[in-house]
Amino acid sequence: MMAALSRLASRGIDWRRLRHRIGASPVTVTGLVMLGIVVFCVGLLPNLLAQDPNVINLRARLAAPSWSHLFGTDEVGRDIFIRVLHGGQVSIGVALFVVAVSASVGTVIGGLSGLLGGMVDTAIMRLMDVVLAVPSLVLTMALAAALGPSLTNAVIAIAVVRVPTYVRLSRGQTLVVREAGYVMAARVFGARPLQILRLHVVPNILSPVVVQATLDVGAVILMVAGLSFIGLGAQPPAAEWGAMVSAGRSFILDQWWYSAFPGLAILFTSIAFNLLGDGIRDLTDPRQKGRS
Amino acid sequence: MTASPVLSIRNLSLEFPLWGGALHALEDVTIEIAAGEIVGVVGESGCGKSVTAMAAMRLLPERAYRVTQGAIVMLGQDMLTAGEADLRALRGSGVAMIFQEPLTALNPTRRIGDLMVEVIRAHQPIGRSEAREKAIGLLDSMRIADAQAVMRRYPFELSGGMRQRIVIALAFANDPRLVIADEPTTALDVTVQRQVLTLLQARARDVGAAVLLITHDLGVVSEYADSVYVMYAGKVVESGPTDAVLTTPRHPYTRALLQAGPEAVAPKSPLAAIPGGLPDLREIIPGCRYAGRCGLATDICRGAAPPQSQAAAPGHTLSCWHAEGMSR
Amino acid sequence: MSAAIGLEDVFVRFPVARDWRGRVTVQAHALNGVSIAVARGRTLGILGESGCGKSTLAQVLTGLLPPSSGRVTGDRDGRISIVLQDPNSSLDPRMPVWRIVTEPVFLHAPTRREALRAMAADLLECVGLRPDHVDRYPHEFSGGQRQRIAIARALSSKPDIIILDEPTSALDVSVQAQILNLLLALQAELGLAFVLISHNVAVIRHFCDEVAVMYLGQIVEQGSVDTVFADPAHPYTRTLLDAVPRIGTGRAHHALDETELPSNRTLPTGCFFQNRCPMAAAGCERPQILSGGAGGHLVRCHRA
Repeated sequence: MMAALSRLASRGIDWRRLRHRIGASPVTVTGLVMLGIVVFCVGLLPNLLAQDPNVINLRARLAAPSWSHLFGTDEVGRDIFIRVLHGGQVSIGVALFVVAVSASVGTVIGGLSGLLGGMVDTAIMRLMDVVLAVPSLVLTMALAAALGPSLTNAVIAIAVVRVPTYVRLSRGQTLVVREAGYVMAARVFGARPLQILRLHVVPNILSPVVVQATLDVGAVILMVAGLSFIGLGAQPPAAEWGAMVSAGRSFILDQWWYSAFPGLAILFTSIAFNLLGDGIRDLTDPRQKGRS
Repeated sequence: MTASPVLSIRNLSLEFPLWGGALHALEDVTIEIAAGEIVGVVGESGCGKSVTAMAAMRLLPERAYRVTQGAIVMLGQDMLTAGEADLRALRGSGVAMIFQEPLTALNPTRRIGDLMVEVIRAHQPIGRSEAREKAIGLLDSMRIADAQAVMRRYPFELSGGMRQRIVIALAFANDPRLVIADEPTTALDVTVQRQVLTLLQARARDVGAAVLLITHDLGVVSEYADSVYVMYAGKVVESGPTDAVLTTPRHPYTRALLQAGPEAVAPKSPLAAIPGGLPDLREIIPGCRYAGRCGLATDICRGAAPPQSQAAAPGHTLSCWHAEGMSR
Repeated sequence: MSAAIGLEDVFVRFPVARDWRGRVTVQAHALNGVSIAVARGRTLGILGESGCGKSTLAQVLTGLLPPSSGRVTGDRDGRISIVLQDPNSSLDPRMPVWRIVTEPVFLHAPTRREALRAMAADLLECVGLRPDHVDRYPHEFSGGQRQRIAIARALSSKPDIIILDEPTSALDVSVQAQILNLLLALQAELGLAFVLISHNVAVIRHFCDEVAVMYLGQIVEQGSVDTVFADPAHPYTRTLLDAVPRIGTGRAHHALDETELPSNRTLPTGCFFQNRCPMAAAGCERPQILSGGAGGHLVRCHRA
């Protein structure tokens, strides 16, 4: 009876039930709503408004927020609202790209490491330990500085530093999947390690990786902003949230809106991704599946 | 039986509310265990035998189920209305439980000796050294050689059979009047199973405890239980003294179950598999729950729940529309 | 008849602990000189309890584990297949049935999707499932149906030999009957050789031609099912047969024997079973040899 019940509980995706469960999780709903706002503002609004974020208007320098300039203007009269919208495309786009690259590279390396075991595994994991031992922001700064200040180099630096998290995560998951009967059967049928990785390991470890990746987007947005803030990321005049906060800091006392609005955008977006990640984790956690 | 039963489950119906309906897990289940009696509940997966035991112990998650009918009385305590304090008192001393996997019952971070002393002292006002003496006595009674050394071990250092013997020793630590054993030997080898069940039986007889033995193995029931309840899809289909039920089964399901085993036919010849599968318990089944797989099923079987009737042996009852025909 | 697969004096040892220079200091002795042979169309049962080396034997037979010493003989060109115990774990929950069933095929030869689906439909029909269920996922099937899917997968590589590793021990009796019937019918039709690994005496007796009883990595008794079960000669075989609970024989009254296995780290010097043996006597302290009586009935006991 217990078995029958848990079979019932694990039966495919029941959309009604899923909607019910999402509805019952305020965290997920909040995350989804916030992310919806972000997608609308950053994805659609710039095209609808069709305004150049780099248009200089020297007559409206450092204007306070008003109906004509919602978030005010900067020291050369560029509209901060428009720049926040366009800057989001850079910040979020870069963050998604970084997370996608580091998650897929990390998953493949971690999966192989767990699957092959032995010396390969030991070597990979020691290397990852070395990377993890250095504080990630310090390492990112060092890498970005070594490669030279540009957005591309910042992306590479952050991606490299993010990889070990995924390696560890997916290796741990792989060690579980590796023991499953279907992997043993595949080996009997002559599957090679890469085939096992592609056919069985990756599909079965994907959900924790996706959760981690969603949570990571928020953190990476902060890192990109941080690097741009200290001048190692996006270079002027590009609109990017971190760079904008940085540029506004000399005006922080009198023209608070210059730094505040890009800063709030960073905060809002990373909270959105964090809530969504937490929500997905709760939904995919087997302990949450009502097995009574 | 003159004494009042240690466990009486009467006409129990229980369901698990599901999204847009309910899973009707138990229907009209009546099980009675007299003092000192060993009662087997047997059936295949999904028959409700574990749910029955869990419900009797109030171990099902409180909001996950609904009792729609019936009563459970354990050692004079109404289990459906008992408060948290009553339950704790009962679970600690009057009733003990043994599960399939002994590892889950033993805290992996504690030595066996410390664990046992703790359990004994939780319910008895005795000192540490006295509790230790008692623990060693319990291990000896489970035929564990060198009890002193075992007391210093951690659970993972011991074999499955040894662990289950320790769980049984613990179950008897506070002189229970009822022991509920849910598939206690399913994870063990047959030679170990024999030893564990023989010890369980002997121990229960020594102290006069009743045992509710839940299993899927008809052989185990036959050798160790005084009486048996055969369950199918949430209902008791046949019950009575073990010998009567298993040697002269009257219900078509009990017969089919006995004939499906490899022992029933000549080697290599086809086995008498039971066609089909369990009915969907989310639906309301007006008739006999076994009708869909039964060779004797007629319209009346599908239309109305079968009445209970008596077989030849005293106490041997079954629920089947064709009870008369089955006596031949 | 030529042997489809065989083992000759196979030993398997696993390193358990190493010293600081990486030299093995403690070994687990999983298999200690096992020789078996299975002919085409025949079934060999491997009977034993946990710790007897059954699973290691399955890994050696399927080529997953090389023997530490000894030889694996017979045709080894991918003609060996396997059905595992737990039908929940042996099917990838994220694959549709048609991919699961045809995995042994597409692993080796890229095949068009439509061809694979057609093949899967045929295989499902072969094992008594509906061919239009090829797009379903494992969780949509019952335990018995999942085991049928595992059998269909085992058949797809057109094997000569299938290793059946406790194929029915996770199933109810009524479902077990269906699966054993299916396997016997497939064997009769396709002339398969089976190695059935099980702890279940009744299943082995019903299903196999020959049986090898294992204890602590050794075969202690071997022969045709009829002779071994009718006239068990090794004390362990007798203990095992006696321990099976029977229906209708009345209440149990049994002596309580020792049930703990000796460690496989340092093997006993003499007979492996002597610490549990009711017949132990002088001579048991010497290593026992598997030696033959009439009709290929081999026993590893000097007192038999």
